Amino acid sequence: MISPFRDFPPDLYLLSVGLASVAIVFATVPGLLLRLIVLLWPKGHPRRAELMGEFYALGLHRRIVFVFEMLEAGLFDGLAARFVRLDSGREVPPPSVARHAELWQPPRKRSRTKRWLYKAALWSLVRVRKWWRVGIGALVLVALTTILLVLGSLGGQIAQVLSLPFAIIATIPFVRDELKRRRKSKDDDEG
Amino acid sequence: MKKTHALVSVACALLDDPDGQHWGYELAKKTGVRSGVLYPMLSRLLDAKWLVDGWEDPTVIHGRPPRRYYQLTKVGSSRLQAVVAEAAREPRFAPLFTLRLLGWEL
Repeated sequence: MISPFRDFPPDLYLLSVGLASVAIVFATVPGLLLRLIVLLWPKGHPRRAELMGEFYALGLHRRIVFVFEMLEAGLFDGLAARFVRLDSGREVPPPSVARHAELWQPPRKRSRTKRWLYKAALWSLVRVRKWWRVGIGALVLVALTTILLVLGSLGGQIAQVLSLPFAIIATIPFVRDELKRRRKSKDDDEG
Repeated sequence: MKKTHALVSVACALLDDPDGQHWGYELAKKTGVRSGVLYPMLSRLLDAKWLVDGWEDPTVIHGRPPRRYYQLTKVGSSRLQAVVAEAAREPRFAPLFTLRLLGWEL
């Protein structure tokens, strides 16, 4: 049997297998992915429970799209909520969370080193905002760009790791063809 | 509050049923506003007390977590009506209202 993948460029093949594996993960376990996405919001934020409620109220076919959309909401709304909390360092819930005070958990007491690191991070954040006159949104964008650049450089490796099981399965026809060819040539030699 | 296309679209959707309960994702679908924009906006509307929120009654639903709903307050209703009335006079919002007149959900 001639493998249908014989003339397929290996890079394109691996890329498509990687993309297919990501799509399969999204399609099969959207709930798990959403549970990971809601972690972008700070602990106790009502949005975590809200999105899970919305997700399970949807039909199965709409859940995948919903998870894709919430990834964006998580990056902008969730990370921004974390930044605001870091910036203000407040011990009381912000107004949008205060109505659900039972969900709110104030930040834990930190050790001295962590406290100094936190103060240094906060100081640099405030300075950067003052010097560059930028808002929280711009800082979130800078952080996101940095994260995306790092992820982009790791992306190739991640795609390869994800596609590894599929790549192994896909090599089976090649191996089978090769074994057949060798067996045939051996038979011919003996004949 | 800054008057944007997203705010006006959401205001129109909320004012279609001023006493009803609205779900976040349902609003996003109705208005076409991306969830990355809609949810922060809902938080701002809550902080301004134009909206109140609550959770579905867990005894009524089965097998899934309760959803969070948003409801217009009296203040919110009058303010959002003012926002929509102002927007209706501005040319940059004209396509939005034309589409609504044609019966398209935004």
